[in-house]
Amino acid sequence: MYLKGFAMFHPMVLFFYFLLVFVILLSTLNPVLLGVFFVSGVMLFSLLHTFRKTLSELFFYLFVWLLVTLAIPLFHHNGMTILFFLNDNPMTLESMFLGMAIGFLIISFAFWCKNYSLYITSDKILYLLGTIQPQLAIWYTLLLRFIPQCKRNFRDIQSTQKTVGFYATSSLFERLFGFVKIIKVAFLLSVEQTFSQIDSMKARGYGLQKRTHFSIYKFYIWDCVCLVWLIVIGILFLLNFKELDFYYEPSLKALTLTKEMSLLYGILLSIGLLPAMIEIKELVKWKFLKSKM
Amino acid sequence: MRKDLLILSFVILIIAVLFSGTKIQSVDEYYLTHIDEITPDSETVYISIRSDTLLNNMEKLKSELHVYVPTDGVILPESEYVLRPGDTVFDILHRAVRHNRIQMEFQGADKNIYSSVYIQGIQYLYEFSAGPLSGWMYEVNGVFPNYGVSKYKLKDGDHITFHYTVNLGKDLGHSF
Repeated sequence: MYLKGFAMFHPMVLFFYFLLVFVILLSTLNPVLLGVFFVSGVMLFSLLHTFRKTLSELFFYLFVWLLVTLAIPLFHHNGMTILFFLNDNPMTLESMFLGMAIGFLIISFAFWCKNYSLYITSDKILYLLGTIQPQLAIWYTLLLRFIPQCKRNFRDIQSTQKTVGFYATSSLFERLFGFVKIIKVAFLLSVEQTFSQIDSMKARGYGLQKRTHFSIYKFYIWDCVCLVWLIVIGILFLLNFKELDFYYEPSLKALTLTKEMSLLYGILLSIGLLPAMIEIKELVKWKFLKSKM
Repeated sequence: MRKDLLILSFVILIIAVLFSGTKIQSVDEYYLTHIDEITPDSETVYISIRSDTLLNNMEKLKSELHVYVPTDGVILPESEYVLRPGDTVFDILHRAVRHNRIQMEFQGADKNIYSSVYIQGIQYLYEFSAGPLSGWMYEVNGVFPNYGVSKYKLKDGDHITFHYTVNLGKDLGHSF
């Protein structure tokens, strides 16, 4: 993991940024937008992880894409160009394109979710919602923490029980039942920890309206600029939604690249590439400063 | 864990394809249907497919589908087909659309609780294409039957008409 320069923005700006990206990504199946957000999402992911990790993720999602592309035409039979008939149902070129697009949507969404979880950490959610919706904030953070905690508890209990001799039997079924028992115990322990966490937070005065909380976040001028820019792009997207919206069935919408549309795509590309650009800037700065010493 | 799930999904996909059968036909093979010759003593029925109601409700229809609505509202003019013994409305419709190469998608009788075929779309005009109350309805001799297309047994000289409705049949003069 390298530096996270984009995380220097105020949590509210980050939150609105990811909200806007997810809304734009999920509201249309426009192939250009899918390409834009796929490339920018993977680029940002590769900047935050090692090259090897990125490649292995891409390799995994290649098969996810293949699965979706093959599965969608089995359920969608609408379309002008019929390739052949499978069990009296037409297999059409359009539904295959739709499958490819949905596959790309899923991959892009997965990569953007991975990026989201790196930038919007639990403390930022607690800071954002802590005073207006304390209940929601605490539930959100606990929910995110639940599964990793469950895994950790399971590992701990299992390794402890191994030393005590819990698995020291040749019977496969006994080992299997022991395994299930440990899962049950780990799960219940995690639930209990979650509830005691809520109690302890309450005892410390979390959620009281009049209390102020210490935070390291400050709203700077560039946060303001970024927020205004995000709102402008959101309005632009909404105004041009009819042209940006895309349909695959019964026949593909013609993709016209007029001057205005290419400008709009360029603006949307800039929003996708913003964090990656900042990360690259930080990376270059880091390398540059290091070589000078 | 993640990889196991992916492999499992691939296996399920392959099993689903194998179980549902792999009868592959080319386009010409599929549309090559046998139509009985009409002789003076053969029993016949008449079928037509119309989308008149859409002409008055074009603003409700999705804009990309406007080109598929004929200007006179007739997708299939009234045509005569030989009635084979035990034929239902669906059999005649299926034969007619294959003969005339009209696109149609339907949900099989084994796929829903009514155990009757459900017509999802004809000529790219699907259910819900023109608002939430739109879809295909059929009438036989001026009456809208309250049951599915593959449940209606036909008799000699019946007139079948398929209509596209945008308001659950109220715009066709039918009410439940």
